[in-house]
Amino acid sequence: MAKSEKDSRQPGRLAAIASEFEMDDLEEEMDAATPEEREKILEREGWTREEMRAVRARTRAKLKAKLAELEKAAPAEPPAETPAVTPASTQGPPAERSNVIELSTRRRIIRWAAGSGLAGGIALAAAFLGVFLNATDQHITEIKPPVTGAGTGPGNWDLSDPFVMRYEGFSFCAVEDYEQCLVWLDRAYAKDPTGENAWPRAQIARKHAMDALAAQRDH
Amino acid sequence: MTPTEIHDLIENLSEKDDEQLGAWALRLTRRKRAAAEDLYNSTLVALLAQTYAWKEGVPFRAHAYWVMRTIYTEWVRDPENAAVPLADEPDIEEHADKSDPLTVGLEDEVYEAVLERLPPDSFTRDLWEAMYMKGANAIAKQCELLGLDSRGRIDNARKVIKRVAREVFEEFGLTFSEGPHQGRVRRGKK
Repeated sequence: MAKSEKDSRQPGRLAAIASEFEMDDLEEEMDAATPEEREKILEREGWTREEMRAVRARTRAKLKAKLAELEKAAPAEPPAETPAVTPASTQGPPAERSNVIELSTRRRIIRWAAGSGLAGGIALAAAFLGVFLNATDQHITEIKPPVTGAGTGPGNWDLSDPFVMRYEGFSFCAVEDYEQCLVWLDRAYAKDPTGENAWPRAQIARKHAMDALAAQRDH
Repeated sequence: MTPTEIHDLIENLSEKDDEQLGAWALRLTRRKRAAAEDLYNSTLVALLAQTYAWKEGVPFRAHAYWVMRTIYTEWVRDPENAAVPLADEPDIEEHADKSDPLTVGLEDEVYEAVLERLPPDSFTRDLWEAMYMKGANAIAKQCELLGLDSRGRIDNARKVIKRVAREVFEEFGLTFSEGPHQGRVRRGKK
């Protein structure tokens, strides 16, 4: 505990706390008591029930007086102000059209500026909203699920396509079946002669297959 | 609340609540009847005049007790404010020795001893510290700080503190004279 806190304390705190506990006990005791027991507790504390009622009556009288005093002291609300109305009989006739004074040019301009300013503000807000909403209206691209099932497996490839045919040849090369490799590369070449020149991997595969077959023949 | 509403509330107080207020007044004034009646009166008038702010939701009885206690503390601090002189009226009972003020050193020992035995619940420990540092107003202050939802929690913590503190008081051989205005204690045999 800080020294300053200690110094600021008043003496008798423990006594005050002990007293709080006593008051707690008294409250609990009275809460739990029957009316007859409460009367006894009250007598033990110093008042009979009749005395308590008399005290209560005297206090209530004081409270009424106090209430009247408070209500009197409270400032009365001033009556709401009503605009002075001229009796109808004293009102003048309505102004004739010819007597109506035209607004000055300056006032008309101010009114026009205020009106157009308001309209301009609304237009700007609408434009902003339009742009903003448009910007948020992104094109929705349909997400197609991946195609599964027949047509996608190696067994269903279109072997009449030179591209696929060359891949078929590569596959045979990979398993060292160089004859079939050349067969498929030749078939592809027959269909698409320019494709092989544009695909170095196909040329490499053909050369490799031919070298391998030549080596086999030499042995 | 308007004065009329408070007046109606007081008018419709149950006899039980009224007797509770009376019993508190008697206990606080150490059973001095005239002072007790004056305290009871002053409390209800202060409630009506809203001399002390009544936080919305605080139960009537709790607020009334707090007001009564505050008024009485003010009387004790400044006896000239008391309508009935507190010292002139004889007590109904004689109470314990009121001559020996408790030394600050011993108070600190008691405070620390209670703190050691309290459960490691920061809420309860804080409440004990508040009670020790701020005295009788601690509970009301805590109510204000924590909001009314905590009232049940405060009551539980108070029960724990009461049990532990009484054990410690007994061990230290402390007996308190009745009435908070004494602020004095007699140290008995350990």
